[in-house]
Amino acid sequence: MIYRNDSHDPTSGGASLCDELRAVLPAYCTGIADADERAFVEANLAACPELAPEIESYRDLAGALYYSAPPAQPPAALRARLIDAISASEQPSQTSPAPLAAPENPSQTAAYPVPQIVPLPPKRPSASARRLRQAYSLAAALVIALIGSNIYLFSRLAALNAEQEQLQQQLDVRENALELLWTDDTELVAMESTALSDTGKQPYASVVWSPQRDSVVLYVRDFPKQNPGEAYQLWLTFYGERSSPGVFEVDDEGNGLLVFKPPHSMSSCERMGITREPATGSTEPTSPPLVAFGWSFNPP
Amino acid sequence: MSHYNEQPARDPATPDDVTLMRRIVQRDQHALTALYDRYSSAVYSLALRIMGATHPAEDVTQDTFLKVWNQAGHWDSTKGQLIGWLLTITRYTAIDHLRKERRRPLQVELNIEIQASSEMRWNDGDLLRTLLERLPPEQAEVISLGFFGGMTHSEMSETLHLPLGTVKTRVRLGLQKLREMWLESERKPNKT
Repeated sequence: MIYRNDSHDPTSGGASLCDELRAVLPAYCTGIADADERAFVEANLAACPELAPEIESYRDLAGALYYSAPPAQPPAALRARLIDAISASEQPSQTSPAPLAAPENPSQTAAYPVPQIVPLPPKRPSASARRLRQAYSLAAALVIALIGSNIYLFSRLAALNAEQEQLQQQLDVRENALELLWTDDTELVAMESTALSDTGKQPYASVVWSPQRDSVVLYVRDFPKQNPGEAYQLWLTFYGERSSPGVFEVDDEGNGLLVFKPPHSMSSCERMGITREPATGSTEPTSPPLVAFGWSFNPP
Repeated sequence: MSHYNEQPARDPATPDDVTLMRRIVQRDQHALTALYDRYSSAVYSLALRIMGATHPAEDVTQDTFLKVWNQAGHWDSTKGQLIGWLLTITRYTAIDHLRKERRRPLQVELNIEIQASSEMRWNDGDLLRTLLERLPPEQAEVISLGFFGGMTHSEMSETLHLPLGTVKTRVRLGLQKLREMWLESERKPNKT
């Protein structure tokens, strides 16, 4: 059977178009149709409103088929496994250590070894007492200076740790990418460019993954350098639901990498695209995709 | 008569699905275990039907309820019963697992929303099992591979070494016949 992929004028030959649609409906409504058949149905369904009850009926049938599995009981241990898995998934956010940073009031934070200030003795009007007071004052000043110095060192340490963490993350990204490229069963999907970049080059993006690994690598090249305060954001659609695994920036050469864990198997990804967004990311795409796979985009 | 935990038989003191889902959104683990107790047999049965073995079916069941835990806010009570949404997640999760095993290509999509309607009855499952058995075996086979195995026409053609047109015809005729028998039994006062 040949399916027409163009929109159809119902005033010319509508009967045969609707007959063709009717023939695909059973497979379409049960999720068995191929991609071209789905596209054909979705492009032409509006021309055949009389098919609505039939669609409803086949969808009901598909819903009822769920219940046709022979009844079975899960093992009792599965309930405990689920509870363990939920508890484990909740733990990191509840018990994760506070980030290493200088406390605002060091004396109140036991985790940081901040020197304690020695309390001053009561006033005595003698000369020796005055000298003693001066000595205490000096000691106090020293202690305060030490605290200040400690705070500075802690904040410096925190900054260095953050920098090291950032470098480690970049290293992890590259290691992940390299490991994937060395894997025999790597799968790759290239995204098509929807326009030339400012540099006149064709932006290119590919997503690489291995069915044996959780991580997926996005590699882009010849992307225009993002403006300050902006980044690129990757969008994926699984089962009709769009989500974003993250944002990334490109270097001066227009190259960029993003390693992410998709919510489903990448083989179930229906559409993907990359848009320019604020550096913090957006909840929905706000600009047309620079590159895309299976994406038709209507800007807001 | 269905052998599942009969879904509607609920103690009035037990929270309804909407309340449970609201509590799950608020990270109430007891609500999730209550939901598990209510629907785990239906989820596990479908997972077992698709995966064909107990261990993978257990993994799918666990993943399904973890998805509910993490995505409870996505359920819209106005669009259908919770069980329909749960079984849709179960099917997609199971097919995800199957695709990982088979390393299916990306062009295979499953974006058709299938929801159990609000009028869906639990004994429809028993009825459909009976009706599927009445179909010619070659038609029942492609419906089973397509609906429960997550295969499209092209994939079945490749797997079964059959011309694409033959697969499409078997699927179409099988589903048409199944629908006719199902509607016919709905019209009769005593189904089977």
